[in-house]
Amino acid sequence: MASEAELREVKRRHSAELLKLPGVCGVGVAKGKGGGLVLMLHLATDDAAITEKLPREIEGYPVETVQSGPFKKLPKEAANR
Amino acid sequence: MTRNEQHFVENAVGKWADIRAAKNELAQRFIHGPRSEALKRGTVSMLTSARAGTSAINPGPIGNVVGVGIGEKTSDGSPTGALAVKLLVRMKYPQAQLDTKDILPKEINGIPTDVEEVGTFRRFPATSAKRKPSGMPNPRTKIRPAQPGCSIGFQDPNNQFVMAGTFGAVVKDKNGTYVLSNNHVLADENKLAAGAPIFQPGLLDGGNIATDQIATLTRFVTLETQQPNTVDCAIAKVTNGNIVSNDVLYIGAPQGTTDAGLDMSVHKFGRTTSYTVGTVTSVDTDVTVQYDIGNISFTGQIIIVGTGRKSFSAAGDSGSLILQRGTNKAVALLFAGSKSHTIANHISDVLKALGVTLA
Repeated sequence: MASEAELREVKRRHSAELLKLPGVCGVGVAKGKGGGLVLMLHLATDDAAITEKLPREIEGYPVETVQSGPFKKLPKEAANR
Repeated sequence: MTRNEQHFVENAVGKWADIRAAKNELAQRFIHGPRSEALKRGTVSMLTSARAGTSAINPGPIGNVVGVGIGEKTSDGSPTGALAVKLLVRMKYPQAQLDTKDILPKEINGIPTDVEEVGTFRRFPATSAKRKPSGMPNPRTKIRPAQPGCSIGFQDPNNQFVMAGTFGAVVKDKNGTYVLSNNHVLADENKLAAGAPIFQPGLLDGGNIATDQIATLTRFVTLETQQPNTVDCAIAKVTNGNIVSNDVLYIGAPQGTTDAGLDMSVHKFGRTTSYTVGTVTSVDTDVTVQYDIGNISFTGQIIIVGTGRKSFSAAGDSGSLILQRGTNKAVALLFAGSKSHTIANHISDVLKALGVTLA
């Protein structure tokens, strides 16, 4: 099973290019469905045409996806009366 | 009467004495037993024995079990119709994390048990102007001294909008004492100059420009649109040292800092969702976040999901300090997210970038 340090290094090498893919808003190291660590892609879309094209593994390390975005800053704003 | 209810009643009539005996045995073991005598501070009612406490949470049953009672067993969140001895714990732990000796019994004398997380029982003050009936303070009111967890914000120089975010923590350096929050809560995404007034509550929550200023913007870490960032943070110097308190609303003062870790149980108090509990699912995630000045990328962020299908945060919680449950060590500064996921900076990165320490 891949170590956290290994996966963080893989993430560091590939996150910039992965974040440029349409629909991808996050790339991290997290626990996958099987309990082991994976590269977790956070998705801002559930459009299958986009998600089907995403890699299932990178450098032999498993890749999983989670619907979570888009991410926004979190202040509360309202027009002034 | 539904089938489930009928089953429940028959079950109850037939086994009531057995269940009472089982409950009393476990209450004796975990609540009233000699080893727990020092921890015991609560009251005993006819059906439920409870204990209030303030010490740090650890997974051992003597510290973690805060109540023993009788109730309906639930399985995967659904009632089963069967009576069980309820073990109320401050915090539920994955079985894999527990020593064998700390695992709670699955049954007692043939009666099933049911473990339910209830947090730490606290007394509710009889009267307090700051508290809502739920026992939670209202963070959107004017609070003096201002406490982390409450509403704060800047004034739009053009008065086109009003806003509010969250006061994260009191921090200090050799020059003074400051309010810590996000750049986008104190400096409007790099737009405001040092000296800009900061209000509590934020103007969205009725803050008064004439009477509710608590600090002035001192400095921020610039949000970069063309290169990755690690933090969204800023500090504002307090107008006087007595206008803020270190005690995070409901949670209390942070007890230093520590690094976030996978599966860490954390909590926060924020302007919009108040007190929430969550779990760290990543300590190294790179994200793209939507700001007014464009999409901004961050590297090495912490991801948190709320406990029990509840969101950990919502709009207005930006700036909240996130602390490890049990120890109350600060781990992160909340700044972004979606309905399902919260994103936060490592607190060590924030303090280092600003050259400050927790007060």
